[in-house]
Amino acid sequence: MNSTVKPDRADILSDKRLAELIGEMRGGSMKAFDEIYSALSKPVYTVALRIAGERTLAEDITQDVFVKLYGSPPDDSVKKPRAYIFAMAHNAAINYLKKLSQFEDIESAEDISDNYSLQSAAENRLDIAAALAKLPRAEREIVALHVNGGFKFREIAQIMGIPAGTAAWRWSKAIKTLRQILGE
Amino acid sequence: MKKYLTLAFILLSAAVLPVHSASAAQPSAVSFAEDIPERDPMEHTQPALNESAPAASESSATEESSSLPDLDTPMIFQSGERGRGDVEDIIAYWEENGYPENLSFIAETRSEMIDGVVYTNYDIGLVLATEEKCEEILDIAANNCVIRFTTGTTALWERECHFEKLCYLSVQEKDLGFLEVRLYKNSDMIEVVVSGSEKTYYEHFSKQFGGVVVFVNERNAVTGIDNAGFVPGNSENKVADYTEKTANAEIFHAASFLAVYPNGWIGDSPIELGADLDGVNTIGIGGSGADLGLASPFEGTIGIAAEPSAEKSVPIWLFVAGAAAVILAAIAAVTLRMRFKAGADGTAAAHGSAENKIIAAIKSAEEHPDPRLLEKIKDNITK
Repeated sequence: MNSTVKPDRADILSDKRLAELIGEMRGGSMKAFDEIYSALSKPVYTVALRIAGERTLAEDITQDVFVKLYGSPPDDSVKKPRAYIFAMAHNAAINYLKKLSQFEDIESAEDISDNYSLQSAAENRLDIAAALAKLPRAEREIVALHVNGGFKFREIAQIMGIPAGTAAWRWSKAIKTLRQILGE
Repeated sequence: MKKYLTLAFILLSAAVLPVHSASAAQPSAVSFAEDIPERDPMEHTQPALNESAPAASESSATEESSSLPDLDTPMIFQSGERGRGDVEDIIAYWEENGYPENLSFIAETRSEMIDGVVYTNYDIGLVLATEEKCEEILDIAANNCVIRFTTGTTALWERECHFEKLCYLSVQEKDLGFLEVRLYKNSDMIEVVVSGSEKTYYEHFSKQFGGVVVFVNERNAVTGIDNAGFVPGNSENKVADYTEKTANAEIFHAASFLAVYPNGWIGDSPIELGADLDGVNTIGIGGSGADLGLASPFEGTIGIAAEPSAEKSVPIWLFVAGAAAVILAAIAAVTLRMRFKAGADGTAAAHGSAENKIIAAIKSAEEHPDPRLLEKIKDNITK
């Protein structure tokens, strides 16, 4: 029987632990900040990269997110700090794109494969990264949030400000497209 | 497979409708509108899986289906599987941590004390149920939870989207006559209490909501349920966070739902896991309940019940058409059933396997920022 590989949260910082670390960080603990960065920098960066399509820009976005997180951490009324942080990443990315005016209509489909700088030599990474680059921006982001961020569709909907049904629909569409591109 | 079912539907219609119209004096197999029986919305309407439920191992499923109840084992253990984890109140656990995405409903059916321990029976409905998903739940639930798995029609999160839309409609469109909108977590439906004829509402809304919603005339609705739902105009509305933005957004109708769950549906109706369609003349097929003139669009198997025709002289070709329809539907059901079996070869397993491969590839292709980024961030912080 094939083992199911699903976007899970087992290896991702839980909301409870994250809230504890944020509390410590509010008290000035750099160690807590390091732990948060260690756990979330890669998925945040991945989401930023999927939205922006360009590494330097994604790093700027990631930097903004974590600087803001340290400077203005969410208070205890934020029950889902993980989703809060990724929403910051989403908003920061969209703001950057708007400023750069790279996309007239951010919601329209864009193929960024020509701009996508692929640094990994691993064939699998090249394939999947190139395939992801062919998806529309919104689908790329949903894939990154669902797989790399471990979020459910309902949470993705809140992060991106779209209906949950739309998130699920776009995920399904993205998987179908990836299957076609990758020949699965 | 859809063509099998379409053909089955056509043949069955040809077989049944002439008999039905010929026996107009007899009451129809299902009633509608004024004849809707009173129903308890708390009662789970989905038939439970038969003994080939994915949660049970194949051998225990066979034993359960063929042997008499074991008198030495308390009955409560014979209808499901006990958990292996440590969460005693699984509903409270999911309320706090979020429900699984494939959860349709969870119904607490019975509690019983045996030797000083309280055991709680649950019926849990899953969409796209697989043995693995059932095992995940059993790994969470404690040993005093006895769980029977069954198929669900819709995912809970999806019903929540419809619920928000209906709440909005009930307030914005007062002439609709929506008196109350009820979302149940222990049953896979949304119930809307209305002031008019249910048939009219089905005709207008069943396509829009993909058969998720049950409309009940106010005189048939169960009253006095705590936390029953959203009542337009009630200042103590239980649902306070529906938003115009959410409700005005894309309507999640059956077509898009099929795109998300491509393996588990035929039109608007699920095929029950383990359903034995051989010789059965009530077949679950697509189409809204209103089109078929039924009381509920998703109550158990949906279809046109064949009328008994023993007392009528009917052309032989009708029997042949009916038999052919049953055979074709059985082929389609077996094909679909195989798709649910975890680990089975077949196109559905291939689909799941392909998606798993892609997810694994995406995970392994997670991007890494420049290692010097943390230093840059700290420089910014300490400035």
